[in-house]
Amino acid sequence: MSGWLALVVHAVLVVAVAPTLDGFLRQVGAWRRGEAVPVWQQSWRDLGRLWRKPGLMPVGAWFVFAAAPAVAIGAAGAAALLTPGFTAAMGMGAELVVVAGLLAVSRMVPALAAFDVGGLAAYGGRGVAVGRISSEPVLLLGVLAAALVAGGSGLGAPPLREGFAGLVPGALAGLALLAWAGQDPVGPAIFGGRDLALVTAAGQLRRVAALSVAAAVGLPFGMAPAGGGVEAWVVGVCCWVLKMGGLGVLVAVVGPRRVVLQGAAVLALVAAVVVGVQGRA
Amino acid sequence: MASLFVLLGVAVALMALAAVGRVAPRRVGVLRAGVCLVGVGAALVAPPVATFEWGAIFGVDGLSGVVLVALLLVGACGAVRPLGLGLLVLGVLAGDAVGLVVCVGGAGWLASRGDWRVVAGGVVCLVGALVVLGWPGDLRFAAIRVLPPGGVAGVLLPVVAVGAAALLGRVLGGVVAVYVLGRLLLDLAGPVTPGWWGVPVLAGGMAVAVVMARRAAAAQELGVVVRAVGDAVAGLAVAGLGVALLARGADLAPLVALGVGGSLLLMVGWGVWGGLLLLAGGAVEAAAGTGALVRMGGLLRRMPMTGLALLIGLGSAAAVPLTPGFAGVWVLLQALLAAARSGGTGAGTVVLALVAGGVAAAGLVVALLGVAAVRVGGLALLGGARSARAGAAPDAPGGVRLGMAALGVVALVMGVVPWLAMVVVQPGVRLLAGVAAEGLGVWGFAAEGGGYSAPGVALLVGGFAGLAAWGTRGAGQAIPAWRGGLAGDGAGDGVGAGLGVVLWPGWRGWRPVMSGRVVLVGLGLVLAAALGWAAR
Repeated sequence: MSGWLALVVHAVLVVAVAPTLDGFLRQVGAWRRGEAVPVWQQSWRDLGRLWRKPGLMPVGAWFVFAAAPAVAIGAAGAAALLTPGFTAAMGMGAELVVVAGLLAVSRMVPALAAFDVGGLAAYGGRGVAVGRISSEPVLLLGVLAAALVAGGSGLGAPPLREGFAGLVPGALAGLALLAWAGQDPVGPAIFGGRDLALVTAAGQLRRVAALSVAAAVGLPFGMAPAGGGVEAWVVGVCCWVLKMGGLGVLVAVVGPRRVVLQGAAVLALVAAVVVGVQGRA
Repeated sequence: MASLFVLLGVAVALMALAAVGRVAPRRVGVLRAGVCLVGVGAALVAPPVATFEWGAIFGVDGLSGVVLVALLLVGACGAVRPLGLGLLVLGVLAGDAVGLVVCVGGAGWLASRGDWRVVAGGVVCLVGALVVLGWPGDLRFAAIRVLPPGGVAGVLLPVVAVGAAALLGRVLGGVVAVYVLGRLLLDLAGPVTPGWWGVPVLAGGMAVAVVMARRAAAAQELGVVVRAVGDAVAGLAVAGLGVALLARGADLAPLVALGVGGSLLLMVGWGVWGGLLLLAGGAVEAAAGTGALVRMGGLLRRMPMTGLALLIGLGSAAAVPLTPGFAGVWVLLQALLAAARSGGTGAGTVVLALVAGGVAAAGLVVALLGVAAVRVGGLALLGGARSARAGAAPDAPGGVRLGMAALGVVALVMGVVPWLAMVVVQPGVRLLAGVAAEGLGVWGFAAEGGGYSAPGVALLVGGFAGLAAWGTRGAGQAIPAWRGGLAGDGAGDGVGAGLGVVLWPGWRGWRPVMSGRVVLVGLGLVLAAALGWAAR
């Protein structure tokens, strides 16, 4: 029963954190660029403003276009719920392959909708489309590599190794995942009104899901154990919120591309150190 | 025994249909579909772990039952001509080396369409493998299984078996390649085989899958896409057999079962959603009067049931959750992960690196098939018609629509309850692995620390999507469609070349997929995994 209660609490947290985190990251981004800093509730206000407007229906569009926003947010919401947050012991087991598949659906459906109303030009061009469509399966590739470290594709699985030997590879994997999480969550500009609100919210949920996966793989501390009491849950919630904020700030400050490059450089450096140490041993 | 006689009757009937088809071709398609479906029923009700009736020429066991289900389902949808299909059924039912070689070789010769050298090479390899296995004694399967290969024979066997599967699979399709490899290396070679046999099988399977997935993502013709998708899935299935061979070398029976289970699950799934893809693809090409994707467009509006069937097939190819294609990929990935976690199945760092490469290749295959699915669905079915014929395309004939509806329902049910496919697969798993695959239950597939519960995922996605749809109900404000800055009805052709051009021109075509953060993220994570292994 506590597992399902944890799932409900996690759902509330995810829905509350996704736009809030987006607003926070917009603040950080504006501060970094030297622009006027918006209020932290700006994303909530934008979503509310969009929600009060009717959706747009281009002439000639059909049900694929009409259903795309709902399917996109359905898949993104399910993915966010299936990633572990303040605890890994939720009613439904978190599993990376399923999460990656759902995130892929959340990206593919808007691309199909773009085809329905005029083509990939409306989706940012074909190169952007390939990147967007194929990014989640590549996440799958990377996450599976990380899962080899963690001990399985189930995020509720205990890590194989404790201490430094288990922490370092996990942290590196989480760092690299951050680069993926730094993708722009804004959806294609083919939607309007409520539909755009849904697609934007889906992007925000995808980012929370990605950061949660990165935190679970790279920073697996502070999570409430199975059967943990209220105190453990409170600690878990605080840790998860802090991790989301910290990782989000890291993404926003350094920027996606630089995070990747610097992360890869750090990975190579640490690899050299570890291999060297092992060679001496 | 009754099911065996029905299957033999199906084979004979299919061969007879070839003769009838020359006289009265109009109804042969319907007759072939009916005969094939009778065969599928017989294969499904065959005794679950029945073995060959030794002494008889033909028999049915767990592996041949699964392969027949897949073969007859795609055969019912027109993948193979009746005479060749009948010979293939006999070849799969064959209980000795001579029957297997003669029937499969004959089917290959019929399907080769003049390129007899490929078939000849495949048959030579197949004969070589069987001679290596059975020399100098009896060539019946029961006798072969008793004498495991050793020495030089043990070195030669995987090489010629992979060659036979590759060459025959090129002509006869991936299902045959999977059957040949499963029969030769996992069944007839006996229960104890060296782990290194899995290396060429896993590497070859993944290489084929990546190349074919790339072809599917870049092809300009719908028929080429469908064939490439089938070959890519077969490559993944072969890779699953490779994992099973690696695990067998380390005596890890549960992991053998997982690898074989993933492989056979992919094959059964291909039988259902691949058949759907073949039917819908053929109907779309016939209606549009062309196979060129850039000459289609807007066909979902003209032929909704066919379009939906094509979308289900494409979604399955892209391993979208809640489709029948996802379960097989999920089990295959679990097998690869388990192989890595088990310390490289005792075969050292090279095998660990191979398994890691297999994981990476599987991710790349899924990515490319996702691009193919969006591209084909978008270009063929959505937007405006880009030719007059496509704008006036009639829907598929009633019989074809009925077949698509039946297969579509089966595909959707299998997607939400993939256990139904596992019921079909488990006899084959028991035959090749000695144990059943574990953790694959009615309501979900279990993995360490998590799992895949299709009904649960369906509830979550449906719940979120339903709430969102309820919140946005009502017609939207009508606006002109975006035409990419171009004028005219065909302006959407800014997309016409679409994603294909991005992926087409040689190595440069890979850059959008492999460039920037994508490749760095992958490299970084693989490096992190390598560090994890090194720390053990």
